[in-house]
Amino acid sequence: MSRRPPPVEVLAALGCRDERVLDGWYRAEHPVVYRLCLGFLADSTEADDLAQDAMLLLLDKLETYDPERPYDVWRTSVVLNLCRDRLRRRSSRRRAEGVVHERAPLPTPEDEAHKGEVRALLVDCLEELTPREREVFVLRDLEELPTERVAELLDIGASSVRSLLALARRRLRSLLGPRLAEEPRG
Amino acid sequence: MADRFDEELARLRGAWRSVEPGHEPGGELESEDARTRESVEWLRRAWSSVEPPAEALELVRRARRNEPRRPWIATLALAAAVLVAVILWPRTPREEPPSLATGREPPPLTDSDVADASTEPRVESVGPDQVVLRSGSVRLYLAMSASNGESNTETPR
Repeated sequence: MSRRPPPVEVLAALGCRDERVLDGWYRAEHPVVYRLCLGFLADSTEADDLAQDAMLLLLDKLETYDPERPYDVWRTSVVLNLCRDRLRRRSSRRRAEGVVHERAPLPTPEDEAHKGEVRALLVDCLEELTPREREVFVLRDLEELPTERVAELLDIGASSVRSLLALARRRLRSLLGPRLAEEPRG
Repeated sequence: MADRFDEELARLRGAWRSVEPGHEPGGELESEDARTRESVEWLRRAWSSVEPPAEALELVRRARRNEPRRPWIATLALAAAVLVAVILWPRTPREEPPSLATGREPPPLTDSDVADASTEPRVESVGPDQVVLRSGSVRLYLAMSASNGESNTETPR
């Protein structure tokens, strides 16, 4: 497995207290961290909150980051543990808004006018998965990490990754499949 | 008839051995059926379009500025406080009864000791390693530790 060097922003931020350098790191990292929080939690409001905590935690831990280790693995691991803690404290599963069960054609994700609807549908779909399925699906199919990397992050075997992924895909297919045939072209 | 049965059985065995699993579940997306591929592709596009709220980054920056100072400052302050306490800690010689510190028995009370019961506290004697204070019939032996570690075996007079 090839190891990508840490992003330039990470290297610059290591041991640096210059706000401008850290700002560059914020800009590069925040969208990724936010998406991960949204994916693992399947809740927009909680993701908004936790992404901030995650950024602060990452910055605090940045001094202990070993550049020999893949940065994305380290970062994802920190965010994943934070999200798991939050999920454990969550008293009950969030009720899906039901958007996913509609029969209308799927909105176009790239269309700005449908941004809110697309996000709601994405969150609802992820909420329909179990936490483990969601983790695997987010990392494997959405973040497109290799199976071995996902297995390492989640501390499970590669076969377990594939099994969970298969379950997640099957469930998502049942949710979105009926709406795909009517998806408007272009 | 038996031959025909055997033929059918052989055909079934052949079909049985040729059974292979389908595509590996949870494998590459290209090996999934069309509906699954399209569902995942749609979700990927939706995923890529997700952006954090515009004000979120500013909130993180603000929270960063309002964070308490780095822990090392607290550690440094604690170390300084400990150092000051050590320096200012009062250093008084240990006051121990002679029987414990030096193994010497306290001298027995005499009639003059009793007679002096009402006298003011005074320094009775000063030795190289001890100071004897007296107040009435009470003597206070202040033993000073030997600088070369030798124990003091002199007996008070």
